[in-house]
Amino acid sequence: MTLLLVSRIVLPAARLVSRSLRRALFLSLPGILMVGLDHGPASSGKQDSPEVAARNARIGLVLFFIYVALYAGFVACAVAGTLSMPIGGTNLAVWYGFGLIAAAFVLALVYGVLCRSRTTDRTEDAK
Amino acid sequence: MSFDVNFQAGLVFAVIVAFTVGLSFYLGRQAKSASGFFAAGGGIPWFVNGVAFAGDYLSAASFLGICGMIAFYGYDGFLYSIGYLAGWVVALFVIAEPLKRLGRYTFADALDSKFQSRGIKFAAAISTLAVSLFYLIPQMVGAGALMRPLFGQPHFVGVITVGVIVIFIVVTAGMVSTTYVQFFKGGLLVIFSALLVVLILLRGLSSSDPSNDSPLVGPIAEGDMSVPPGYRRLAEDPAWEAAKQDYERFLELMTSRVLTTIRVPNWRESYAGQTQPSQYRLLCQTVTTTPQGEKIYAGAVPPDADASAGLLPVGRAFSVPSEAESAQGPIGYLGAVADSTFELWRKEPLPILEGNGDSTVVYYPQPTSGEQVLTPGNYFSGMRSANPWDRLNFVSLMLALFCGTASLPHILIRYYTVKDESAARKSTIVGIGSIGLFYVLTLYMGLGAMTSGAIDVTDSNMAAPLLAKSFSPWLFAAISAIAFTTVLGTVSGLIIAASGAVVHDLIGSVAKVQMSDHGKVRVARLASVVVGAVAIVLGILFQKMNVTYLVGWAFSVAASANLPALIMLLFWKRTTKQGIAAAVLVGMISSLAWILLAGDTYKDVYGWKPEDSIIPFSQPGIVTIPLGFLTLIVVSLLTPKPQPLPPEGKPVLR
Repeated sequence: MTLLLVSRIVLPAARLVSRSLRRALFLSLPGILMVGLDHGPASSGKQDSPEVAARNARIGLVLFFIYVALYAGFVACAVAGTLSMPIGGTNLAVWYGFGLIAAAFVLALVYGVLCRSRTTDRTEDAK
Repeated sequence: MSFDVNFQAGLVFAVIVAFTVGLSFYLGRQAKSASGFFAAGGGIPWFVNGVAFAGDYLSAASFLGICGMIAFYGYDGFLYSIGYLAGWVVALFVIAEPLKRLGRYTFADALDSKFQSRGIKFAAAISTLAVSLFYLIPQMVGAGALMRPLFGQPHFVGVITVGVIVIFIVVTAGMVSTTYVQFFKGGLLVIFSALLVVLILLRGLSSSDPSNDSPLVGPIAEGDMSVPPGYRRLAEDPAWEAAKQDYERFLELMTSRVLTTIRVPNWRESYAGQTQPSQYRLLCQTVTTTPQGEKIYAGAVPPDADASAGLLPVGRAFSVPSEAESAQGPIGYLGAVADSTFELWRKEPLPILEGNGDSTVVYYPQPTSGEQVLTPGNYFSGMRSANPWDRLNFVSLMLALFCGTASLPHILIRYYTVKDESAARKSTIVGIGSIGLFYVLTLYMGLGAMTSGAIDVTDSNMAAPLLAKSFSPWLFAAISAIAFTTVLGTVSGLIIAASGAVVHDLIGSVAKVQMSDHGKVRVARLASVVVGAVAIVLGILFQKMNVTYLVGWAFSVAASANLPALIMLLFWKRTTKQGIAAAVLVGMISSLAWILLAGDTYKDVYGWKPEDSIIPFSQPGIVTIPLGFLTLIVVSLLTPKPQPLPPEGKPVLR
């Protein structure tokens, strides 16, 4: 069992880690880009458990609908012609546009923080 | 416009491109299996994959097309930035993780993971091919736009160069090399764009007198334009009158050049103060095409018929608040833009003239206030129209951009290059951060290009590289090289997605041809050559269209064909295989038909009158995306419920 574990998982994972690191080192001419990042094993035998996946999906849908409301508001303002309203030295179109871009990133970060990642081995699932 | 070919700039360009291609070869040696060719063996680190998302996504459309559209039309180009990024929200929150759990190499694999249906494989493969080809067109057009200012070569040389290099890359490499090249170049694109924006802010805005490069006419009496010294007024021609424009034409006696101008509304008011009282500049430029296909630019015949040597570079502010003429912060710059007045160039095709078969396009400046530049509606003029159909066109575009990202095959395939759902999520967040930052920069780059004094009136796609050239030939070379490698990378990804569809889905699953792993890679490479060759031809045919507008079409087709099937598969248990296949085919065919029959296609592709189109507005998304959902629901309800899969058929990550 131990031998199986080592030959099937540990060794391939170690090889992939090593290969990933070599590739990353070769590429990261500005090496700082890569420091501290996860170049972990590239095993494809794991996936989130169904409960975790369902929870993540629920969070995703809530954040999605928040963004849909913001985006729809922008399109509605554009159609209504209110984006030309002066605000903050320029106009609503500029601020709302930047706001939508920023909101996408902020919501993505929120999603990243709220989501859990508890993996189960798919090969176990299949049994 | 003529372009000085700078040897050093060409050298910098060649070095960066050679490095990228060399990197691709080095890494490509590792792609020996089908898994390695199509999905990098699922072994790409998430951060690398995230930046590679940016590399894939920030294609020619984003860099060349959006900047060009902002430079020519103001805020309307930025609408694409907003829509393109918003699409990632759909990808991250709705699609990324479930998709990662479903598939293997291709979009069709994902759709078919529950059903094992040849019909789904066929529909999804055809859709992937259609979307990839549509998306390839703007990339190739962008490549052509880059080659002209850099090497002075005609458009088709750029298209063929990209086509050949990319086919070479894909044939010798695969997804691993494509991913790392995208990572490298996606990072460089964001960094150099930020540098360009810093230079724009440091330069500030300045108004310039057009007298340096435009002939002076006048004095002009109210309601008439008198003949300037050295010119003879040409007799009125019935064909000119038929154009119903207020044209004036003069013959320059010394050179026999014909100068044409249109008196646009606000002409006098806007230019008052720029010249002596009642004197005005002849600011229009013309491109005349003879029946033999010869181009005559501004009335002069250049030595090289493809180089628009007679045209002047344009792009300036006419009035700028004095405090804006120094370095500005990001917010102050936009405030200064709002308080300034700019020239935006418009074109007017004329009817056949002079009885000799010549046709002329006149380009003329339209004074536009900064407030109007920063408000949508200059390109999508229907937004200011009372006609509801025109407004619906804009809403339809925004819907397609929102839904299209998550439906693009070359983006979807990248979810298979990381190890699990968590890595898919993290790489998407990194992608959104990089792409979002870049899209904020596009507004500044576009506005900077608008006032760079370097724009070619005939080609909006060249605005960003020419903006860089207005700062330094070195920066121009570096930016052009990055944009060129951007095109290389995006085209590589698209060709891999298209060849995957051919090999896995059409040949492997639909035709049931048994092939070894090695054989699959070989056929995929052959398919890559064919797809690349088709893309080269289309890239030459669509030369004059703004690339981001073309990408908008690709988004519409992708969103209509793929998104309904993906969403319903993930969230509606009653979905059947017949429903999916029907939705993909109906969405694809209806959106393609809509585009081919739309007014914009009539005008820009066929050269017909847009009013003759039977389609009420040009963007199909608002009709064809719901149609895809409706088709799926109706067909699924009319067909037997899907049976639960037996244990051995349980979808597993392969």
